[in-house]
Amino acid sequence: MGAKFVSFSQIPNGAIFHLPGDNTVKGQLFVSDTAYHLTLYNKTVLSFSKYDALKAYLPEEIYLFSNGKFNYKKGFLFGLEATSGINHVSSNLSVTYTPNFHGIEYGMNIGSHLNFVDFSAITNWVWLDVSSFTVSGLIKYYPLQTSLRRPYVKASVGHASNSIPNFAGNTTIKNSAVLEFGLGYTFSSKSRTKWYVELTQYNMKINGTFTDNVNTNQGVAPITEFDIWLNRLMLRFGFVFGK
Amino acid sequence: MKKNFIYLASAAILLASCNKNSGTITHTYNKATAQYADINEVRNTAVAAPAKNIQKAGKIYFGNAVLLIGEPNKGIHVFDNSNPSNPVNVSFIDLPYTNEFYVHGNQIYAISHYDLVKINISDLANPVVESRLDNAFGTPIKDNQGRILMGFTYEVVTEEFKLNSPEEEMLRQNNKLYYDYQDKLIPVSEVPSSFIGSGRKEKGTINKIALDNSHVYVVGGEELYTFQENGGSMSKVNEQEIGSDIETIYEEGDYLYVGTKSSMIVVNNSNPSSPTVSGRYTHEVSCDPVLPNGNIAYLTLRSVQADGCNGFVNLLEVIDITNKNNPTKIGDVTMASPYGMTMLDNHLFVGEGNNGISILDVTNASNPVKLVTYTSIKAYDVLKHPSLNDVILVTGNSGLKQYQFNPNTNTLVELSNVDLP
Repeated sequence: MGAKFVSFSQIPNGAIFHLPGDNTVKGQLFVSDTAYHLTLYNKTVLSFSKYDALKAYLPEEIYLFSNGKFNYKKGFLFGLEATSGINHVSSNLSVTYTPNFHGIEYGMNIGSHLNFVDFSAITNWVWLDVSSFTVSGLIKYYPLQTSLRRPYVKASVGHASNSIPNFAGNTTIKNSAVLEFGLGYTFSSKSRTKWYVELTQYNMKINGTFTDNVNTNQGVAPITEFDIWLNRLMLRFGFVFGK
Repeated sequence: MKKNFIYLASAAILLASCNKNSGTITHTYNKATAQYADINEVRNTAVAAPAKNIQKAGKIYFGNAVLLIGEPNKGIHVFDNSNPSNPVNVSFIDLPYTNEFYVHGNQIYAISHYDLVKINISDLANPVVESRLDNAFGTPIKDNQGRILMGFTYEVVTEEFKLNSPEEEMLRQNNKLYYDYQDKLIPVSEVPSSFIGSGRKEKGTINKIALDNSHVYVVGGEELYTFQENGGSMSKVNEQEIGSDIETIYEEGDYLYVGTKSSMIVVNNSNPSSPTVSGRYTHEVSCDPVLPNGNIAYLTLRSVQADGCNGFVNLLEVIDITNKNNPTKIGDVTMASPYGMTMLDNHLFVGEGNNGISILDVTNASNPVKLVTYTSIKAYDVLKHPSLNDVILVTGNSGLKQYQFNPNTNTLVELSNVDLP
């Protein structure tokens, strides 16, 4: 597996073009004033007018490899990801921009998160299903930009609007912060869609009150205040796609 | 395949082990601080004392010619009730830390702290201790000076605890935290059940003690204790956990009927020294005395939250106990807020607290029919006179009243009233 990975080298000045007739060509690009000259994998040179290219991934936008797969180097990416862990499920939509600056990528996420948390109140055990709408800023760093599989580290800080649908009557919860730190891999592909997998440390604060209207004491409902950091280590899958 | 499985298992373990929430929980709870004293001083206190005014009424007993009213943690007021129209306060039994007692003939069986005490009241003005079983309900907890834990002082405090701390776990089991002289937590399991289970908030006679010939049965929060009388002494012959949140015990025939917040437990005591649970009837969580009537048992389920009783139903349930191994509900009657109950012939009286007293016809024991509710009579517990077949005693908000019942008109006529604080 490792040998296979090493054998596919990056093609200098690699580019991809979609041409009429549903043709896609990949290779090393040389540009003249009016035409593209593409040296294909079989060493033949294909020349065509710039106006014939229906879609172009130019060398400043991608890293192309000898197996035909590519990674994004610069530009806007849109993404969708799903996360699952103990007592947690979530999904996020992301928009990120890669400025081709030392492997940095930044952007923002909006997400829908569901966390399950339990704690003890007086004479009761409380289970909360905390539903959150999150808006976060994120930054990714790719230390090995030009590799076929690009590892990255990620940090994300955001705001969570929290609610507790099934305990609306006797539980209050405040909005809070949500923090994420991740280590992941983005896989190159031949298509515009790039899959990634990530191990995420997720931290979200929930605080509020639980009023126990059942186990009252002398007619007074005991109130329990909770102030809890949810610390979750989770597995995340997602994909991004460019233009 | 095997390698993939190992990877997946490792990932699962990693993920599971890294899901530790952290934070704090703030509870408002009852903090119990231990009080220590020389227990021998308590044990050597003379029980006979002059009559005193009632400061706070607790347990009540209605005897043939005697009326006993407990003063929580202090003792028992003795009234001469030979004339139900005019009960007379004649003496006081000085018995510190007593909340629960039971009367049989001229004997009082009382839980006094760690001890089970038997007191002779043949002479109402001069009660005497007949026997005492030391440490019947647990091994005394001592402080560093050898003094015995005698009780707790309670205060409501608001305090912050770490998530999943021992305090949190204890508060879930019991809405109190017990602290010793070093301000260290005392596990609930180590606090004598006589401290935990006693001291009901309402006035009444709902019993935690029952008697069967030479055996005394006492229920704690979870335990059933069995004591045997041997002449002038008592010994513990059995102790077993039979349930949780136990509230009452009632003896009839070869069976003990134990009421808990969520069940009625039938205990076979045909072998009096070694009672065994023969059946359970589970119901919704509520407060529930049990009153057997032949092959039928009546169970009151109450959900009045004002007295700390949980639950959602207010019912008189009718249970068929013909098969003691499998008590079965055969009917119910909707009530307002049922507390204690008693029977006079074919009439069942159910105290409904501030909602009055209800009288039901139980000529057909399995099908009680509500006849009337007197909302003007505030009734928590209801007791019948041991020998007068038409007199009941009712404990209300501020007094203890005796009524004469007319079964033809289903009316109650007040005979006397003892003011209770």
